[in-house]
Amino acid sequence: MNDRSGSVQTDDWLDRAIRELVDCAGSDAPTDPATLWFASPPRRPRAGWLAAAAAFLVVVALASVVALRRGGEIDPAAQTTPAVQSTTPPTTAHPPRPTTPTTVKSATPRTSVPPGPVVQDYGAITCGDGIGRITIPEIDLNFYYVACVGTAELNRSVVGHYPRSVVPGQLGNAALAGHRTSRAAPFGDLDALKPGDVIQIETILGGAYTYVVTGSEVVNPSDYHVVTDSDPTKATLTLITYTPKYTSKQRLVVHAALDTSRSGSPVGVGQPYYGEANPGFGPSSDVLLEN
Amino acid sequence: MTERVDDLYRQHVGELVHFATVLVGPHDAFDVVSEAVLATLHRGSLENVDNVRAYWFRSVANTAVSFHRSRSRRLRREELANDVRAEASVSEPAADARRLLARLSDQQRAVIYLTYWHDLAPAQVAEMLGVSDGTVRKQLGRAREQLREVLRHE
Repeated sequence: MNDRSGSVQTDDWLDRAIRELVDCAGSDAPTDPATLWFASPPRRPRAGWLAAAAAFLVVVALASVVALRRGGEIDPAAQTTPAVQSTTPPTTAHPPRPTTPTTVKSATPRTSVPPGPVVQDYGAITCGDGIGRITIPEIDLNFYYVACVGTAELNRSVVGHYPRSVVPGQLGNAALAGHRTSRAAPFGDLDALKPGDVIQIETILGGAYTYVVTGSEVVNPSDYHVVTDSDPTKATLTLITYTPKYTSKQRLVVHAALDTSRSGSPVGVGQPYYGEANPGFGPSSDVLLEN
Repeated sequence: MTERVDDLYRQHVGELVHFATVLVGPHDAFDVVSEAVLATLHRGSLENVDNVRAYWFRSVANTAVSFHRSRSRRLRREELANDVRAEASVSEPAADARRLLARLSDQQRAVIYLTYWHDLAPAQVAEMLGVSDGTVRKQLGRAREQLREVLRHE
């Protein structure tokens, strides 16, 4: 019996076991940003809901008008702040819903991108917000990735995106990190990847990109250049995790390059950019994953 | 104000769903969180609430309790348990872990979760759940003893 809680000893096997138990009990928590943020399960209608439903319809109508005026172009800002346009009183405020979720999900991979300096604008986001999904069929990997790679984000059993790298699908290097052995171990089998293996990325903006593994290496935690080293004329992807397994001594790094024959041309500005609403985004840590 | 609720919800929905998953499993986690958050909104403005995050955690804990008691929910859960496809997104070890935690009382489960996942001290757990410090210490002690027995035989 000691320390902060008066009854919890951090070195006790029991505490470790309980910690693991709780960790495990929440390991299959839905992390699908669509599920968390947009979708709502079917429920019984209630009296108070009529007002909310009516307000929701108004929001949808407004958003459609906005979308139409912009020539049908998807504007993430219109989705992330629907309620701002609503006149709903606070007491009937509704968890925000998508105004055009299916449109976003099924948007054709950027074949109809207009010419010019196109950038991927994620609207206003904060660390921890889901911004895409990574799938690697070869090692049966299928996880959502969120903005930022701090302990707080990665401990939610998801993959994280380095805000100081570009976003996937953009020119330049996009970097993602994930746990190797804990918190659902999204990058547990990264060492099994070989050159030629395919990494698929979908973004919440509707982009679908196929990267092909080009190689891997083991580096020190301080080798942050693997995130920021970037050829602004090429779209590359870097996956980072801990190695050896069950330690945090070094970092395993897998490099991949965009397969333009399967993804179309990359878009973007070749430098880190989440969009106008997020200047100077993210922490300034210079290590590849905290120990 | 509406914007503030949006921001707060957006900020906390992930951790609330995680909490709810430990309490009721992944299928119903979102349901419980929506219900819990909506209940607080129907009750009135959040402007007078000091700690909205704690308020929502408390609401999720309470909603999960009534959820367990609800007969129709129980029947639905049993149906789901018999439906292999519906269980697809549930991880087996996670379900096992929840079965072990299910031996605790609702309050004990919430205390264990906040103590071991969020690393909160009893006083902070007490604030989150709106109970006294002493209650938290007592429940934490009992829960640990119970888990000691259970985990020893695992």
